[in-house]
Amino acid sequence: MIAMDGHGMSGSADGGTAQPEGRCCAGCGAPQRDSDGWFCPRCGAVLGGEAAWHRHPGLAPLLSSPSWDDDLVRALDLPVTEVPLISVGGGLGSFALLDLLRILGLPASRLRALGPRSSPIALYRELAEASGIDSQTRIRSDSSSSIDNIWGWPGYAAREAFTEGKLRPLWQVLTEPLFSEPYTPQSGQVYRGVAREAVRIGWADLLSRGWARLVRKRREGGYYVLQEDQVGTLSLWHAGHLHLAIGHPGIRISPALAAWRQASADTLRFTHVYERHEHIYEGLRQHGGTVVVQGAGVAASQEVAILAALATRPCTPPIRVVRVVHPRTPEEDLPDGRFGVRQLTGSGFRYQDYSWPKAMFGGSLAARYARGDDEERAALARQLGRSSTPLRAEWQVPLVAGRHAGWLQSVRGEVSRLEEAPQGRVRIVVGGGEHEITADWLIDATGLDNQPGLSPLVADMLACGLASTNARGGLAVDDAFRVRGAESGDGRLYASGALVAGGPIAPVDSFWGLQRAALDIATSLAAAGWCDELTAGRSIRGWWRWLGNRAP
Amino acid sequence: MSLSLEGRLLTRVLLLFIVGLPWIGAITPLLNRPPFVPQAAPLSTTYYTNYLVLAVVLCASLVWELAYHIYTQTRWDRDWPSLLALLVGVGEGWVGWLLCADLLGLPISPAPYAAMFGGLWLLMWAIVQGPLRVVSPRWRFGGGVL
Repeated sequence: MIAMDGHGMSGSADGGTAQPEGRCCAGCGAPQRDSDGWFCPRCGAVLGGEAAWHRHPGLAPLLSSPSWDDDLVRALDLPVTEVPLISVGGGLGSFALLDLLRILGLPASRLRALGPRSSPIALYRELAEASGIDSQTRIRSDSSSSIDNIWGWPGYAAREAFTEGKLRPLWQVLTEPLFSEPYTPQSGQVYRGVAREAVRIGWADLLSRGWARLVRKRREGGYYVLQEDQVGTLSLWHAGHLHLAIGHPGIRISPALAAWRQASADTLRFTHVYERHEHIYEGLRQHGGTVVVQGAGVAASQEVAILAALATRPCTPPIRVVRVVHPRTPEEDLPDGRFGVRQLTGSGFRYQDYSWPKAMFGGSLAARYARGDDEERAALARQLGRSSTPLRAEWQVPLVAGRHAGWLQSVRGEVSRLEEAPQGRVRIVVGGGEHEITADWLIDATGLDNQPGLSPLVADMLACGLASTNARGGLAVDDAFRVRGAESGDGRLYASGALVAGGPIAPVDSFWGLQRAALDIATSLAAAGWCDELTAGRSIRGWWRWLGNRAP
Repeated sequence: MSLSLEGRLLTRVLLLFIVGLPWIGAITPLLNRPPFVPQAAPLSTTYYTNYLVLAVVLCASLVWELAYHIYTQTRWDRDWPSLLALLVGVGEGWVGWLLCADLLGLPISPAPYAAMFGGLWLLMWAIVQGPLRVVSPRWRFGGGVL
């Protein structure tokens, strides 16, 4: 498990100007620099620098205290800026909330997002591009889950039909999933939509670039956030209300692979699907070889589709692809309908259109999930939230051909051990030794991690008692996404996104989930008299302005 | 589209009131003339009949929604595809006709009924696909509960 949220990367104190010394992962190459600062060329993570705040003499005695008072803070001699609501993260979770609050009429001066990247969709895009999703590739999201449009209408399908003059997207949403594959937007369309909406709501004015290092309650009410900017300058924010949306704290790597990565000097042979790995494609183009892909989710399917395209190119040296997928799923773990209509499975894969069954997005399964206590939610999420992949014809056709031609194989189990093999290759042992594969490369596509403790920022909050975890390991929040036990005077601490897995909804890290959390948080703030409610009239006016691309 | 049982019932009742009442108010004078009927009846009588039809459709629709909910429970993902939501209007319209004309003996002709019910059904389906989400953004996040 590797932290990637940019809130805890190690490096030099003057991270913005000098090259960071640390690495975000064992496979990290030399850090490179772009407009966003230093970043890891392997996994794309921004390297924050080993934090100037560690060297601030006044902070060390305050670290163990979950709340600070104004006199203590004045003694730190740091600039303090007061903002009524701050969202920490600066990604899509922050974007969803601040977008809605701007639609509700709040001026940009009352809101702030703290994050290391200039665009709210930058990290999403980095991870997508690392895993081979270019701007033409269709992502796993439905037409109405448009992160730039809280109303979901017109959805991505209608917008694509309108801009490209095609009827096919509309036909797809009409007939899905009965007579056609579900419509999914191209990632480029999502990026463009977010960019347009970011300009509309004045994201550049809302954003303060840098890393949130510490969160503490303010004894007089509200919260303090310590921020370190790109050049290591520290500042304090005093927020009336605080929102945490830092995304997935890390990428998930199985223990055997993590051990190999730590021990191996040459880490080019093993990469995570969310780390850049063009060198594998280049090696395959030049010399061919064997690639093992572990995982049964959508990222693994996307990866195999890319490898299949390489393997079937004319004049390409022989390529062999081996997929390592789950051990056989016990039948009783599969979701089913009445009369035993079960989910479609095959060759170790669970096929479903989206990351959760459709009715988890607001339907009867969501209602059942919401009624449960922490334990019941965790149990249902375990059953329904396991890795799955959409059944897309464009992926299946080459795979069937590959199995017949012999260049594609599937084995079941988990990679348990890696060993050096002759000619610089690696021997991959699956399970207890049922399968041994000698390969040139291994790509781990087992997903992202959502353990809050992987984020140094949240780990510190857990350590000082500012937050706790739920039965599923996520940050414990109530049904309004308020972090349990973290109230500070009139101030409320909210959290959304991957951090709150096991919370009031299951698809917390989907576009739909981020927007649903934003709605619930805004409703909670409105109930406290902090902002207006989203009435029908305000909603219609807001939508009309969105349609005309006019500032909210 | 994914709706909870509560959301289904609320959405249907709301739409039949908000869309159905003005729809019948607007279309009844147009349907009360040839070629829909051979001879125009007094408008007040036609309005009375058509609003009775709407009341029957409303009562039946609660049973229909329960049936649709049970059907979705047979699907492993509990989904309710949009196309299905459109096509079930054929069955509802036919049963509604049997209830109104055959069982209750309401004085309504097939052509006005088909135009009135078909138009209302298409209108409600189209509103659910988009405009309703603008009026109430929470609708699509709460399984149809406004």
